[in-house]
Amino acid sequence: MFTSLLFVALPSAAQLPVANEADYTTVDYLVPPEHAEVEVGGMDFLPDGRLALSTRRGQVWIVDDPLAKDPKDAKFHLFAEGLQEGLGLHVVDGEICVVQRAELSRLRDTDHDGTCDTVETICNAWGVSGNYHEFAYGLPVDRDGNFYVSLNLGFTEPKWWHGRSLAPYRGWIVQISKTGALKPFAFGFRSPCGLGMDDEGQLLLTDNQGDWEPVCPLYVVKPNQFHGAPASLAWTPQYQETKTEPSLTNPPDMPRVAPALWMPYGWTRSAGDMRTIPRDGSFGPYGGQLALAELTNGLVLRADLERVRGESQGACLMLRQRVGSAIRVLFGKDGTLFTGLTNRGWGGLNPSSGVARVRWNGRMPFEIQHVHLLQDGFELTLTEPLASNAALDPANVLATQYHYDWWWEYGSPERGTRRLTTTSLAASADRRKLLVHFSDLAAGEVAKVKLSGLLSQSGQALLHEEFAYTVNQLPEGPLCDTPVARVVPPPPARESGAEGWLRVCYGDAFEMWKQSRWKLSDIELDASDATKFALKDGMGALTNQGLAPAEDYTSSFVFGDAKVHVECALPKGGATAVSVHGRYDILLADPGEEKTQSLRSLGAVLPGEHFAGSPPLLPAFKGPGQWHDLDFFFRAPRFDASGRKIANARFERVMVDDVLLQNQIELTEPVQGASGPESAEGPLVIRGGLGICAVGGIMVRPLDVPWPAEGWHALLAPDEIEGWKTIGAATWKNEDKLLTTGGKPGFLATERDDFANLELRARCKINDGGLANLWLRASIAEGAPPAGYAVRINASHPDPEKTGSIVGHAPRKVVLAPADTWFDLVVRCESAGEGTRVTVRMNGVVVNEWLDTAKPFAKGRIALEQHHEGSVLEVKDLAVREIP
Amino acid sequence: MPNPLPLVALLLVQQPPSPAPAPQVPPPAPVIDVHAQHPARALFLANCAQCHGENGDGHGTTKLDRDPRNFQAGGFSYGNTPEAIARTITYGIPGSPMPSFEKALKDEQRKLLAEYVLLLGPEQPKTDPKDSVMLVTDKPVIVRGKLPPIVEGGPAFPRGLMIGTPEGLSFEYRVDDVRLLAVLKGEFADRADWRGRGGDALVPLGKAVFLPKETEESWIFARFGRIVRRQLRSTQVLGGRAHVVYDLVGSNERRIATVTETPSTFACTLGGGYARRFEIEPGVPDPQSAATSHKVSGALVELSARRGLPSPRKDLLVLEEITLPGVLWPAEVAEQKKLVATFEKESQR
Repeated sequence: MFTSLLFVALPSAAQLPVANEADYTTVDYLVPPEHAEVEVGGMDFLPDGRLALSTRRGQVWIVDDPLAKDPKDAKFHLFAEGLQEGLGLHVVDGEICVVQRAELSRLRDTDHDGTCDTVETICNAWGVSGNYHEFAYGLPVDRDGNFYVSLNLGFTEPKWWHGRSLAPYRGWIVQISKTGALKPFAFGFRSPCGLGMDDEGQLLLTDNQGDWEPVCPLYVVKPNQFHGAPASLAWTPQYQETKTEPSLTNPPDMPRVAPALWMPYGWTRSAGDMRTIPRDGSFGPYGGQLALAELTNGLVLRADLERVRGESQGACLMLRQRVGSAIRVLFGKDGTLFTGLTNRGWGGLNPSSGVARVRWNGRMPFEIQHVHLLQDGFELTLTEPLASNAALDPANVLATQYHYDWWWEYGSPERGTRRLTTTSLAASADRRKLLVHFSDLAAGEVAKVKLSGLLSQSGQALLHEEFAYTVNQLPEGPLCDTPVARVVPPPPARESGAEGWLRVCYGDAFEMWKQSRWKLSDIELDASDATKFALKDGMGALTNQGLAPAEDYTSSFVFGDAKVHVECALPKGGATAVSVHGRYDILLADPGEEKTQSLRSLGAVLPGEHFAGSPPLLPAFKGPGQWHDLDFFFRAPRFDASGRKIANARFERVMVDDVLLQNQIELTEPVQGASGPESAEGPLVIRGGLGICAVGGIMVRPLDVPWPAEGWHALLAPDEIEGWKTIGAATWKNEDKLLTTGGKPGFLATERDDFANLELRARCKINDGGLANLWLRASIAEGAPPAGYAVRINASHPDPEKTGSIVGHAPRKVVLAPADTWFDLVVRCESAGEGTRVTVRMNGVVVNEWLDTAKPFAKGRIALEQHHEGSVLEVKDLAVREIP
Repeated sequence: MPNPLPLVALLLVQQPPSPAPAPQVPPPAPVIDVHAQHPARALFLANCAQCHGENGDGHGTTKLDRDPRNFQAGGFSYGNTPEAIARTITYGIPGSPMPSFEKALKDEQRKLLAEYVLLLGPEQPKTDPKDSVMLVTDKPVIVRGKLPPIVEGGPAFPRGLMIGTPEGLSFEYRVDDVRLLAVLKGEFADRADWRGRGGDALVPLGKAVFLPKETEESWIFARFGRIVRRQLRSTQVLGGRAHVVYDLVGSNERRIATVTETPSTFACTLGGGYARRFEIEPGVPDPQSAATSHKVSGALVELSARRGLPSPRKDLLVLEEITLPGVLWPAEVAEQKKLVATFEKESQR
């Protein structure tokens, strides 16, 4: 997965000449007037050859003689100002059109004094909510005179990482006719900074990597189709009609347009627009391909697209580096590549504003001119013949393939990177073409190919040795339906504080565990013998010190996907492992004198019989007696309906003290010595037999537990308490889908009194000192004690029965969820032959279960109880599902 | 069980011990860091350098699934403002290898780090606060932008425009329905959207002296029947005046009339106020709703006649409305007459 490591392993090419971009292209910079910050957002030429520039400061500059030999001779004049950003400009019939944040405008100089006096509104019919991130980009014009504008999503507080469509057509490209009529054109974009049109009139667009965009893509835009960022779906007829809000975290189930290019992260992080390179050779041997602006890395890329199975895809290559924060590109009539620069607030290579001119000096570089996909490799056209066939060694080809995750988190690593097997590297008879064949080239992945050791007839080395080809499809065979950016389970939600966690040792260190022999004690390192702890009265830690025979500390609860937190201290030579399901172990051990990271280091993933294990990335042991915070994300193995394993378990990330030690470790098999088959759920195990250890603060946060929906009926209508009766003096407020208790003791009970077998769910929060009960099959009447099954909600009230207790029958002393923290509660109550079983789940984990063999309560009401004045229970999503 | 000992997690990583240099190889040149004295340098080395490199060049010792940011190049996932970077340090970028330092570092430490990280990068284009102030000199200036709320706690106006006049009044319009929101007196405006990532509201520098009612000019337009919306056509600065041109749009998107509105400062013996001149070119009348002669239409000041100003074209209707402190035009008849008299005197002068 670390491609850079693979590259390092290449044979040295020290004997080859080094090709340098500056030997073929020169870069100079136009000189704006002093104090003018020309933060370019759009560029085009006026019919007389002057260059018009719109800027993020809402100015339009006109540059006389932009091709002047000395850049100082290209004079800037301020033509217009006062616009609301200008991130796209197009000259139409001699007049400058600019897309502002909130308006497409034509700028006119009606009194011919050389400055704009009239700003005509062509269209302002798209939404702006006021969010800072709602940039509008442009501005290609098609053969019929239609303009195209792309509309950024907003980033709002507090969850700024979710791009959101807060007003119509944010996340869309809109088409605007000459007369100003707006038509939503295509959707699924995030921060689509670069719009352009190729020679065939196809609309092109680059988006910026982030949520739902694993890296920067280049799309050939398809009208009325979804391109990948879901927030824009809000404005589709389907979502509008059904009043559906797009999920910010779950991928929508609909076809996506596959980008023609996914540009490697190392090359592009903020892509700008693109133009077709002149075919007349005035900008070198790349005619007909695309030049693409890249802001962060300050360079220009090249895209060589072709049609495969009717759709565009192709190769991305480096064109010119060290240009500046490039956002816009434009070719002059002599082949000069004008590059508009800006980086304010966004960040990119300097120069940070102004205009760079990149010119080819006429010297022919040795380049991969064209990349053509074959069924099992590539045909590469070179700009010059190879010097000889001597370098045609498959070892000179380093090729990998990889794909991406399509998810709501920021970007994606290259996933599943595998080295391709080069079966041959050959040249055509004239040595102008190279044929490279692989035994394992696949569709639905990007192929990154690097050639080394090649020399041209004139003795030059390749100027750019590497290309990345997005293989959506191979030329033949069945069509690939796996996109390069693949649907994956949503990554864990970003937690807010304690929400979603279960504190499985808090308040009672043993109740949720099978063992009771581990000692609860305060620990410190024994002053006379650092290989053990001095134990003192207290409840600071759990330790296995002195335990004979050794035993593991195994939870009685089970879970699947989860984030797990364990705090651990070790004496000199001490060790334990935190094991998920007793099958996948992370070592916590004093590495002793060991200097390199190995499977004996703290944070190592322990090996199985064939699984090699994984040493940590960094040393993390702070010393004997020191506490370490272990946090990791675990994904359980997946099984199909027949029980066959279809995906391995994974440690997504393992961190100690917030330092990443393991990333995306696929657990192809359980740890050595594990027993029993793998399963979707299992316990948490602290190993007791590896050495002395002390642990504490153990918490489990189940991930992506589906909130059941099918067959559930809301028990409370919005903003009313109809169908319920109140008993006692409690107050019940139902506003904004939130029920809040208050006042003196009392009950809120359903009018209906024949609920029997059911599941009841609610999202609950109780205040500090508060106490409440959720009643099932209840009989409640004024002046009579209530009867039925009661599930307790209590985080910090002195009553020993805490949240999850089945009152009077099955107490829970462990405080799984703290006060003032939302948790999900699902209670199941079902009578069968042996009795009535009450099961309590919190945050998706079964935390309590009790069988009432006496079966005194057959049916009754559902009720909430306010226990005392000052107690505040909040409830959301209260719903019931009756079990037939 | 309470959490065990509180963990001081400042020094998160121990750097691996450096191997002893081979004797025949000269030691590497010392790393020169002009920011070595920065108070966040130690924090950076302890928390960031293992991935981002000691100099922030993106070449740390940790191997990650993606290259970490090269701070020397200056690019950031959520922009390069100190606030955005401090936030990324606080919360991390889940999905990427960038962890959260919410627990490990204090708020001030994260702010210091953000400042330091920015110092490692290229010099930022700075917007001198003075540079972004728009001045009005000899002719009006029109700017488009987001407008802040007119009254405290009110809504902002994402699509707005401001007209600054040499006389010192400026006019704020909401563009969506081309509505005059406020008339301000004083300096013109600061383009706060020139800072940071952009998108901030303009900062009007004047003090609001008039807040016109939404219905202020309805007496003029009522004669045209039901107006569904107004659509901005253009803004102009011509002949020393700023004009806002818009269509009155009726049902079925019919253009009922095109209005050229010219706001200006108006001064007379009664005090200082503002005038709005409406030059109206009727379009397609609405056959469904016959124009209702507005009850105050008798009070219209038809300037083309009164001021002897010939209407530029026969089909144009030219009207003006004057607002003075404490007097809303049209007002009671007596007051009205007085005003008209004053107005005529003014215009003759």
